Amino acid sequence: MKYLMLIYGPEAHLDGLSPQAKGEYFASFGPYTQRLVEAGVLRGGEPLLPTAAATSVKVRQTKVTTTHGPFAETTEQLLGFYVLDCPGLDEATQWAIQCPTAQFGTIELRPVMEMPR
Amino acid sequence: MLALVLRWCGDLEVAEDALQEAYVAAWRVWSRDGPPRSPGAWVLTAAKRRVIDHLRKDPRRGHEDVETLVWEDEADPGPTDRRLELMLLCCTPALPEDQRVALTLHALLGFSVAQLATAFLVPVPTMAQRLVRAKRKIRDAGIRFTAVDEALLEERVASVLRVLYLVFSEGYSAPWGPQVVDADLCEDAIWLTGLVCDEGPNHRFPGALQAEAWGLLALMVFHHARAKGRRDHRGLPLPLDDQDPSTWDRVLVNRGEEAMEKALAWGCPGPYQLQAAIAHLHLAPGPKDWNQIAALYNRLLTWEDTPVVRLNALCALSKVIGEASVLGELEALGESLASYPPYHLALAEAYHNLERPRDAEGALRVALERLQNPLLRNAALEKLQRWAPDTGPTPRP
Repeated sequence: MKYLMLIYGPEAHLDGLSPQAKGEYFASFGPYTQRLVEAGVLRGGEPLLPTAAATSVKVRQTKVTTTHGPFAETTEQLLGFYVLDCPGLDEATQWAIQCPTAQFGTIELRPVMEMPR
Repeated sequence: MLALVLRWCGDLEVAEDALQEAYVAAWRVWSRDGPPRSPGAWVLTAAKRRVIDHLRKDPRRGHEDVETLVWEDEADPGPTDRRLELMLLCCTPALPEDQRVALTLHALLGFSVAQLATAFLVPVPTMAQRLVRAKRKIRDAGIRFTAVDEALLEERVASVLRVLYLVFSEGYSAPWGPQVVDADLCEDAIWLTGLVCDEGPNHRFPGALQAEAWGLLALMVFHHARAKGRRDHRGLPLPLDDQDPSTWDRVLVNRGEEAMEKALAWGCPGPYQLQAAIAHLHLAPGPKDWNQIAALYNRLLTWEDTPVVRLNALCALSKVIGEASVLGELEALGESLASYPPYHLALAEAYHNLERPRDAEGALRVALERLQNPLLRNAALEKLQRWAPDTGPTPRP
């Protein structure tokens, strides 16, 4: 089963880290991603630039509205994602537990809709 | 039965369908050929065959999965083992609480949708929807019925205890007459909690939770011991002080005391154990030790600082230092407990004792607006009549 692992966390927390701490945090994704690869569950994933770099677009009755920033102001923001293929929710949860951001953020596990080919 | 079949395929819907088909086949074959020597084993074998067929057709399953199942020996450690596993699975935090409760009662105790609807006082379609949503989430999110990983066990066991507590509470507060439904729910909750207590050590449950399981059992039996004395001859609920101790079930009280000892032996205090200790004090003969009760509520607040616990703590405290000293804090709870009838009843009682009849009457009327349960309404109405016999319009019973 495919899951989108959405990695949420307060950007303010990251901004408040010392350069060294921040470096260690980002570096910890290396071994984590490696384990996902070795387990054969990784299907994709990317880190994202902060919400300050985001742009939101809406179309309502042909009217286009472009806004600076993410779709909504939230206490935690989307920081990155992985696409995993695991047997079930428990296995996906085990991977979510190990994600470095789980320590201060929230990991959402969203099943991917299976589309008929 | 369901627990055993689930173990083979990890999928609730597949298991239920397989078992259902097996029962249908049993009815068909047995009415023709007569029942087999071992009907349980016959049904299980039939169910297993259907599970294997399903697994063979499932493109996601590996070849080895199915073949292991085919050759697996029927080493059945015993039904109690399975039921605990099933409880752990139904109480997954990945389902919303109300769905966990419904699913547990449905899968473990065989409650039908209609029975669940009656027990929880919701319309049948609402309960049916609840189970449908649960099964849909289980299917869509890939919640599988396999053994719970050690890292997730603590949270899972805590969820089981919470679900059992909710089931008992529902049974305990069921308002309607002949206590057929509520006694069943209370007794079912007690039985299942006993299972958790007895089997916990075999499943490596964390010590703190085993202590809490015993505490929860004690809490339940202490409350249930008073079941016969809780209502007067008209069926109206009696305040604790007016209940007749001779109607209390001594056997249950003893069982609760044994459970408390087992809990304390773990040396891991917790909220259920504290609530059990409070319930035990309420059962003690003679004048109530309100000092102790208030002290226990204070400790409970360090675990669960919620408005309801605060209310109970203040009520206990008022018995020690008087209503005047707690009134301010009691009134301050008004915002968070506005829709909680017992709050208004407690406030009314406090005003009454402080000889503020107008405020007492006001609070009682607010309580009556919030109360749905006819038995409780009648009790409150009677109180209104006693305190303020000639004032204002009488709310309808």
